[in-house]
Amino acid sequence: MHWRFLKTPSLALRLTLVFSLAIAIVAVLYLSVQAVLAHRFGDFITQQSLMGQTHDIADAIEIDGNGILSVRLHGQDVESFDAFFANLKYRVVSPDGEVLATSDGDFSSLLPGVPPSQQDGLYLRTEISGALFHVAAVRHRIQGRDYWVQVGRSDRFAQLAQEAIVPAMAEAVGIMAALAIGVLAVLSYWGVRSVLQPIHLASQAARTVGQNNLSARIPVDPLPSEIRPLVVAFNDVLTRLEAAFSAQQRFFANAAHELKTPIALLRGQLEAQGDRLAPQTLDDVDTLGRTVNQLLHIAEVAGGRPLKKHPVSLDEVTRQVSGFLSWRAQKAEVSLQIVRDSPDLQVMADAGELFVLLKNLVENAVDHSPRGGTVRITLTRGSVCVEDQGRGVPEHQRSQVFERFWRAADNTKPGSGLGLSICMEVARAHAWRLECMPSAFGGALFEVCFEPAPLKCCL
Amino acid sequence: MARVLIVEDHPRMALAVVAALQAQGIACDTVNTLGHAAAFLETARYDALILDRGLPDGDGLSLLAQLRALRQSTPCMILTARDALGDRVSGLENGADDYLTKPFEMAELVARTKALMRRNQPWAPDETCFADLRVSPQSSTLFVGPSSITLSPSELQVLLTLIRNAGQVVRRGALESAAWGAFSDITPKALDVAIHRLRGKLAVLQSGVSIVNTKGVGYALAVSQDT
Repeated sequence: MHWRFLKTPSLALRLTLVFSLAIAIVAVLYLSVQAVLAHRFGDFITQQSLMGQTHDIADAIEIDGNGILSVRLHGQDVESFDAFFANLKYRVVSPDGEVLATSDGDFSSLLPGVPPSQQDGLYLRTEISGALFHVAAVRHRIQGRDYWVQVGRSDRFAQLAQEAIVPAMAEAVGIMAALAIGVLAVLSYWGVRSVLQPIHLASQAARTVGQNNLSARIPVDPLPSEIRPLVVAFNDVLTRLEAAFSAQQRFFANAAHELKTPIALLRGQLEAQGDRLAPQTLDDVDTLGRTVNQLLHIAEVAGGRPLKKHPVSLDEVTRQVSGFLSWRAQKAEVSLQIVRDSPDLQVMADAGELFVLLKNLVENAVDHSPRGGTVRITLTRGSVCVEDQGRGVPEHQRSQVFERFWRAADNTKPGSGLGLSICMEVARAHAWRLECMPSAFGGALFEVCFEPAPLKCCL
Repeated sequence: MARVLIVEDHPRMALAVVAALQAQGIACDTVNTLGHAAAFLETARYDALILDRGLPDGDGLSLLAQLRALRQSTPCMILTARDALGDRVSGLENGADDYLTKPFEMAELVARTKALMRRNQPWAPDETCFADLRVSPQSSTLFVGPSSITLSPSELQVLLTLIRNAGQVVRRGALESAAWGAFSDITPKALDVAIHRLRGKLAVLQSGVSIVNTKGVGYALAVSQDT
């Protein structure tokens, strides 16, 4: 048998389903037993009711000072025996079998042939005057003497009573069963929820552990002992991950230092040689230095560097980028234009990565601008566009420009082919969109769309 | 004489930086540890500080943080091989005024150091305004409203001279000597190119100011009537 519906991914749903199934099975069994036993249930009710009535009559027996026995019934009982005299009868019988009191003036025993010694607590069906009767008898002791009280109820009468009671009983039982199922379902759902609550809390805590927050740990104390080992193991994994990550960060820093200082020295020595140098040599060293920088950046970004997201002023970052590249732009005789539609735009970003993203886009635009050209940086609430007046990117190459080490075959400009791929990695890490398209400005347009939209800053 | 403190533990790198700055008439002291740097900063006044980060006795940023905590505003440029993605941000956040990463061009280092030293001087050039124009000589940038564009050194000087004469016609010779020096050997075309580019930039920024030519005399700034 395949319990496929029980294999839902939700543990809570699975447990609730199991509980509900169990409750449903119990309910079905209960109702089946009810249906099977319905008629016996009727008989049982008749017997109990008849016995009760027999005791009532016994309690109503009085013997006066002359030793005369009488039955003093009250209210409804008197009316019942009077109204249904043919269907409802009683007798009070002496030890020697003489009927001393009767409900209908007939002084014959309801249990002829049954010795009094066997009558106490007796219940049977017997024929009286050609009709089927249910008869119950009890022994009752008054003033040191035993008396037998017999009560008979015609089967027709019993049937009528049963027909009135049994459906009402069945309905009551049905309502109770439905209520019980409802209460059980609610309780089991609540129980399952409360059992799973710690798992829910642990997973919420786990969600706060991210690249930005590797030092966070899931609190173990409030957890049930069954789940605790899993969470402890998870926390251990985080500790190892954090250690590995900081080792990696140290490696980046050291590698940067070890590689870049010699390149800087080499560049300084070459510069000192002045005109004796082959013209391309300095450019080659610059490209080498830039490639080392960018390799480290791409390793950092692609290696899942923790993002430190804060509201960052786009203006401020753009100003920094413009300042950083002013030397390069001036040498290339390229002007940097910044256009803003409103002051003080902010975006949730890692400031270091946003700087590198914009720096690479603007650097790329400067490198591809003609002398005397302008690079236009447009800031809006939701995007940054960097446009140049260069040759642009042909349509078939627009998706390739973001690939690592990709360079157009006819590209003679210096560059590592990594700058734009770093931009793409940064954009991906922030869930931003980065696209290359033709610009009305003349060359290429690179657009970064911030998602969600940047925060509007207080003015 | 301007004086700069260089904190750099690599002797050849320090020598190269000192040589480049001294060639521009800037005096330099060199130390190779944070401890020495702190001692030098206590005893002498410097116009700028050039600070490496990976030093034998710690991160240069800690020295900078100490300086800033003591409200010492000596302009500081971080000159380091450390250029991980967060390094620049932490450098600037810790009070650095500029952040240059190795390898770098000596000429750029010198230009940035000079800019840094100008920053702290009481006679540092302020922003100059004319109509809707705002010119920042410090960053060589022209602002119109919220937008801006960078200016080349010659464009900057031409524009500043025109603004200083507020709408008066300025002779070509005066503009040329402002932009390239009195005795420079430039073709007459150079000024025309600079004026052409400036006009383009004013148009791009949608400024209400234009540069008008008075034939045979020179140029003047004019404010359009509809702005």
